[in-house]
Amino acid sequence: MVATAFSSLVPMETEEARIAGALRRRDPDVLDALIAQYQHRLLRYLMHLTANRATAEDLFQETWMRVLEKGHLYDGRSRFVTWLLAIAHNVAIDHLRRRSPASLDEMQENEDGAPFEVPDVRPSPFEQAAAKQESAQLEAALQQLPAIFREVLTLRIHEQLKLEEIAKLIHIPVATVKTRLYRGVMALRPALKGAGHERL
Amino acid sequence: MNASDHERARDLVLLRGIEGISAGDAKWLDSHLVECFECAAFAEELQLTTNALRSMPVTASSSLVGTTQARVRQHAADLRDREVRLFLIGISFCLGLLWSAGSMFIGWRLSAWLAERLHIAPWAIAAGVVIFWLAPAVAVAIAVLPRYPMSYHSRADWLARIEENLQ
Repeated sequence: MVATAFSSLVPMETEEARIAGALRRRDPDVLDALIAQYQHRLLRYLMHLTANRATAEDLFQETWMRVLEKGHLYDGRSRFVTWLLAIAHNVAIDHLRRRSPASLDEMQENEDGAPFEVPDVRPSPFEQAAAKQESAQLEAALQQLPAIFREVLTLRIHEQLKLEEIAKLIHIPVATVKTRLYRGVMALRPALKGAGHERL
Repeated sequence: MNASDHERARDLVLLRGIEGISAGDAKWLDSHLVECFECAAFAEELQLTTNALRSMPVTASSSLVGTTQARVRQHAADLRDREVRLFLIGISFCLGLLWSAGSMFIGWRLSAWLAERLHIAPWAIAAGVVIFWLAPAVAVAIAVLPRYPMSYHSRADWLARIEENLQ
């Protein structure tokens, strides 16, 4: 959507360069379009990070305010989504520091509320009930997982970021990203087996 | 099969989904996974986790998006206003500086001319000019400083009040 709108205006520029230019100008129309375009991805990342929808929604708004203020720092040489998620990561860290200085996991332990919205698309009531149970098991397992593991899992699986991109985004070595992915996956094993998820 | 083989296999399992691996690596990995239960289990768990997480879509509500867009627009307008204000303050400061320098030069020359005409000692004229120029600033500083002591917190409060008044 944004790409189409931009490409009709300045066909020679890359998408990232055009976004960088718009952020420097604080173009409200482009910001509106970016918010609409990245709404689900950003909220999903924040929800996996915080395990709390209300907190994630607050941080969602805070992230876009930060994007507006720091937009001039985006040079358009990296993917916009990577930069956006890095901003979100920093906003979440700042939020945690204000709340409690210990670790990202305290965010989950100190708050309650529905962590995920799991739309039920199964046709029959029995399958709906089964799906709910499986999702609940997975949710519970995810919530028990430390946030540092949830974060790399969502960046890798949902955002499909490269290992180097994840490392750069959360300021850790690539080897640590691999370790966290490995440990995160293995920690979810019992829940996945119990929930009956199978290889497609 | 040694520890580095398992490590290489796990790395390749992670890489093959997104970064991609070469045909040679893929062949080696496949043969390793046939022989190694542990690495094969990791590959399967990664696939299960991927399927499971992707089956849990999270959607932002339209009200959240609308509220965010409105807040961002308002904040963008505020930032623009602040920039305009700072620009005007900067212009005023530069003009004031130019005016002070120019008037100081003229005043100095004028007082030198008067000193010559009235046969007054040049040092007295120089002292008079300096006092004339510095006296207002010193008086204002004396008046303001006791009211707004320049400790860190009081200065921050003071600046915050000025900011509120400007808005």
